[in-house]
Amino acid sequence: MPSGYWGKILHVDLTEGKTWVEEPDEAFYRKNMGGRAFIAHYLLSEVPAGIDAFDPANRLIFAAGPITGTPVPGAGRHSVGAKSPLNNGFGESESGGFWGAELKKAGWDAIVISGKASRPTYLWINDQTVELRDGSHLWGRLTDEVEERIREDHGDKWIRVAQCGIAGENLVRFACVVNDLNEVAGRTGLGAVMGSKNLKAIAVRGKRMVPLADNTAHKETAKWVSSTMDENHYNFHYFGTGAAMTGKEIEGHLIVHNFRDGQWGDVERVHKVDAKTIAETYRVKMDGCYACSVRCKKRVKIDSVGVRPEFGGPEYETLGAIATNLEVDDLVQICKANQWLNLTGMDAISFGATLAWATECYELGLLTNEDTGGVELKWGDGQLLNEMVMKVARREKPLGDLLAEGSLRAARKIGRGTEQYSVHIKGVEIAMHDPRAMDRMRTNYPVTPTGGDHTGAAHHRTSNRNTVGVCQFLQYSEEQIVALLNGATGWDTTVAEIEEQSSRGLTMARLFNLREGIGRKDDVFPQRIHEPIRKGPLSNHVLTREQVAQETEEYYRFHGWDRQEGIPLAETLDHHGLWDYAGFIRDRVRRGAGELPFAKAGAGVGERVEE
Amino acid sequence: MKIAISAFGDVDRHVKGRRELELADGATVSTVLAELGISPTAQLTVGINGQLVALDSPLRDGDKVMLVTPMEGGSAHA
Repeated sequence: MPSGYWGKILHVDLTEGKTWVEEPDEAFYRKNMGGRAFIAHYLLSEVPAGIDAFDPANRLIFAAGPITGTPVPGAGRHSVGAKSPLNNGFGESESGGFWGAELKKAGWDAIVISGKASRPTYLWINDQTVELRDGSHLWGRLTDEVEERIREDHGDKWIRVAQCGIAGENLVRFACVVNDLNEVAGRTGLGAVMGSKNLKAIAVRGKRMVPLADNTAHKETAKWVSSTMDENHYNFHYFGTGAAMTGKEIEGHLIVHNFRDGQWGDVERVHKVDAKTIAETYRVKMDGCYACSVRCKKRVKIDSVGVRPEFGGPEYETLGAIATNLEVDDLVQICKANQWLNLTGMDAISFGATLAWATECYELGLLTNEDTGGVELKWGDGQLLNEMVMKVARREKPLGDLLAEGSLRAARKIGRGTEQYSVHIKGVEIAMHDPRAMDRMRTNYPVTPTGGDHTGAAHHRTSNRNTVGVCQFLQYSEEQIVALLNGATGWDTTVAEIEEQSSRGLTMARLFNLREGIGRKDDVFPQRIHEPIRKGPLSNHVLTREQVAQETEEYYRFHGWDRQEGIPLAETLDHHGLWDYAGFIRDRVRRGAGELPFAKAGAGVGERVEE
Repeated sequence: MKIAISAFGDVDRHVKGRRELELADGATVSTVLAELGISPTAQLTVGINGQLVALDSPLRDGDKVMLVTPMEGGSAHA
């Protein structure tokens, strides 16, 4: 087994209360590496086609990468995946903090969870000792209590906890998996899958060092980050995310009023809720993830409303979703809502976007007081924002329960033309970057396997990092990533190999979506994105469906998929060795022009993006 | 003339806490960049009094100039 891995994947059957260890060979690791490809492998191999995301047969996978937990900035990343209750297909999300590194230090490369426990349960991993324990005393508790009680149970304050929150227990379809109280695998409703399995938490304590084949690249890279902080990571280091929102306002693509308006019309007011103002007001310090000197995590404290630093502070996506989109300019209410989203375990993006959908529909008279239970939805009400966090997390009827379904399902329940106001892709709300203004978002959103993802996960740069376990905020070149990967494993990988591996992982995720009935028809933007932004410099610009279709087909070509339907070509399946996953589609696979475009340098839409 | 400046994102490191600049008549946004040691090819969003402007836009006494390094979603300059 190469260094960088332990050669051990933990399997947990909650129905039977059993655990066992899989020890894959080196070829498995070289082929899949980690993160997304691990997730796709287990979803394609073990999840029966067409099941509901809350079926016990669904798998919930926690996957590290070969660099996760090694001593270098950005190595505190892990991936979580399952069949998603939000998109009904490939669910994946990444998180930072310390939990993933702790899992690795406990001697595990991944955890694959199946079944459903008969009562609330938590998984306790103490290095190589694994135990399913009664979690009844944790059920219904907020995330801080859960972490505290587990640490008390075992008398160890260094235990790291990932958990589903009460939103996950209540099957809120955009519940997230929270780790370390302020880090989340936020997108695609993975916390709800965890809750559906009666699995409240996974507590981990690991005391080993992850073995490295050669630590030279790690030492040099860590030194490079520290010694070039101002040149390469100034903004992240001093402000974290969300310091440049005024730029979006000036350019006219701030996310406002459910992607309708593009501006608040007052740049100083936008500045009131950005990370610079947070730094000057409620921020008490910057903090970091495992082994990271960039320390881009802001921590805020507001005693008057009980906001505590351990829940971090609002990141850009949260500021976009619950501040600018809802036109809330009260930083106290924003920080409070951020904390309660982390206490209950909800994805800020889908929550804010779904509330924005409801607010616009209410404004238009499409959603009535009967639908809302008398709640008068309006823009700019920070107190209402906080009330709605609890209503949704608890699925309080009627409005909280409705919004807990996410905007697309809620719109389909209500009808009355409200679906056209759901700003989603594949049922997953689009994140807080407007594809009408940002090329990278435009070419990513429709084709990312998870739906409305903003991280560029359809492109190599992010895809590579999500596979090997490195934070995308680190301004590493691809060559630096390869050096770290080879230093960890002792392999002789190249940039070309990890990009090909990235394409392989994306093709596996594509196969899973195709198997679940998600394909070409779903690789599209919603109606709102084809309308001009109402205010500001971009108000004359229209993104056409033809342009998106053309770029989508080019993306298919880049990965060796059929240009019309996005079905992987036969030679692509040959090349990646993916036929075992593609039996369901065998009679629809055709041969293409006999070339594998992804192996060519500089090949268009899917190529590496330099920021 | 005297203008107010504010900077957001990575460009903030060039401003080093300065809030105002004294410039000669006829100054443009490019003059501000030169004064602050910012490359004219740097990726920047520039606003004068909240309105998006180009580098050759003229400045007037009392203008509020915002310099912003644009965000990339979930990535480089978020």
